[in-house]
Amino acid sequence: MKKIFNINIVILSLISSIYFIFRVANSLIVDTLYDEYDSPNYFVLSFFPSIRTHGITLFFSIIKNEAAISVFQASVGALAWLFLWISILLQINKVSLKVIFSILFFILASSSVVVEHDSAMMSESLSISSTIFLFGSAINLRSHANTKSINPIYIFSFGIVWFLSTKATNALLFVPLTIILVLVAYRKLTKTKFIQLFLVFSLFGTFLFISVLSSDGTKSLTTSGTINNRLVFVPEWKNQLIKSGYPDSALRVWESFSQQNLGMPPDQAVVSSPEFKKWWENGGDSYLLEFTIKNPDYAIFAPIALPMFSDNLNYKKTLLSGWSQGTDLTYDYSEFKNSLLKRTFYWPDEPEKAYLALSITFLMIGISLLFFTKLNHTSEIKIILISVILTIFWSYLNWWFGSKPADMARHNLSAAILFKIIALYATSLSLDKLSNIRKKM
Amino acid sequence: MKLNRLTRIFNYFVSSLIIISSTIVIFQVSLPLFDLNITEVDKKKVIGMKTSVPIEFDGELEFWWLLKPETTLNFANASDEKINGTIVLELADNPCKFEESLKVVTETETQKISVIPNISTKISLPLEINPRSSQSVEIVFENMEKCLVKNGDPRDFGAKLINWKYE
Repeated sequence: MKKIFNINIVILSLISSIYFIFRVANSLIVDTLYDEYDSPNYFVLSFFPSIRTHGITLFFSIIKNEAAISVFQASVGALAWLFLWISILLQINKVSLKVIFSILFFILASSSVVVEHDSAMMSESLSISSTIFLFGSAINLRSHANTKSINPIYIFSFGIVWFLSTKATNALLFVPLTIILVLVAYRKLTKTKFIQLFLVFSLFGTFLFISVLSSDGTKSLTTSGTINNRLVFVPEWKNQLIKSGYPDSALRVWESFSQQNLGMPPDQAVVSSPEFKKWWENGGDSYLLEFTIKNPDYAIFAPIALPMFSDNLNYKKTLLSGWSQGTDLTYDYSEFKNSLLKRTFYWPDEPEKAYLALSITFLMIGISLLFFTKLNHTSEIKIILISVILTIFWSYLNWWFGSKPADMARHNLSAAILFKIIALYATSLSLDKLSNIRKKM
Repeated sequence: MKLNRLTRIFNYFVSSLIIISSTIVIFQVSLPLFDLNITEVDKKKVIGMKTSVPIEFDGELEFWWLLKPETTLNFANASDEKINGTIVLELADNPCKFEESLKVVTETETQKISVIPNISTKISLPLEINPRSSQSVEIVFENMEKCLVKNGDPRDFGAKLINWKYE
């Protein structure tokens, strides 16, 4: 039987086709979801400054038709997940492990939490796809570490640029990702090729980075949301807020608008009040950043352990909730009534079970890392460690500057998916290494 | 050599930190939530009532006429957590000022009460509702005497639900 990269090509093609058809078919059987508040800006392509990132607005504004965008997102998503699947599969030697890994991989790749966003006119689908592709390209790069091939470096560079272009917080990882790319490319490329790559990459990367920093379309809303969902619960934090000149009346507006439907979301009601606007113009626009810098305990511990600051706060407002729960568009919106997607065991619906699944994910990553450290497998350690650290940092950025309880799961979705992928990758690889060791003994 | 050793120590440290974090998530975050009385959401905000009768207003006060022979109240849990609590219904008399004897029936228990004219009556029932599902409460009137008003409204009034809460 013909094989490509030591994998049976017929099986490879069959599985790839089935998954591709599954994703596209799903996007055709459900209706598209257009969010009246968030979606319109994704259809507006503005060169600079841009309210939404170019990696989304470029395609949405060209394609325009919602059903076609849905099919496009599904196709891109399927290709990104297949690329990651093949990249990991190439690293596993034992056939039985390849089979088990593939089954577990496609259960995750077909779960509603991953697939449902294809039909939403938002940034999540392409953002998840770009994250998956970037992780796949990093693994692909590692596979070719001992070869002369330089294509994996170009694929990795493309992965980074695509990733930076799909979400504002992604673009904020420009600096660490550039450092990684430079370190990798410098070793393998000739001086001329390195300079060429660096120039092209810097041009795109810097543009995306500056573009994100220039836009503050939703900054006042997220500041108001963060203050009222988080800071007011801790007396010391509330005192600091009042001392900054934050108006008492804005706190009362929030209370009255969140107690009953007064025709406007509480966030919007607060930022529309003249007192808030005055505070915003007098330095309130940088309040969250200053508060985070002045309170290192808040910056470091609050994102994952908010209840340690007040009994009135719980883990639903922390990243642990965002990393564990996943979104649920399939249940929440009538547009998805025809959907056959299931959350699967990766995403238990009840929070207690979701947290348990997250702790198992961390345990798998931790034990695998311990194993690789013991065996001194540095390349696997680098990929796992850098991915985990960057994912945590990326989530922290999200939390510091805007993830309220209502959108904690959506804002941190890429991180939630990536943690599960890293756990699956790390465990499969460590079991594979273990079986190799046992074979040699 | 020294750098390698330091890197190894760092890797062991991070691996241990991840494993410790995993244990903390289990014991500090996950396990406490298995207790039905502990929830991450505010019970009062996630339980809603749907009735087979329309909501009406007396000035700013909302109320529902519960009709004979029986009226169903559905309590829906919009959250992803199982909610365990008590439903409290506050009833007032019907327009005919009859003393009404009625049964409040849930899946797990039945309570009998009387609604006495000019006095509001409170009834509390334990009600456990699964995530994203609802539980019905049947109000069954035992007094078959009709209570009709003379303004053309054909409804047979049983009692007036003037307030409800979930706690």
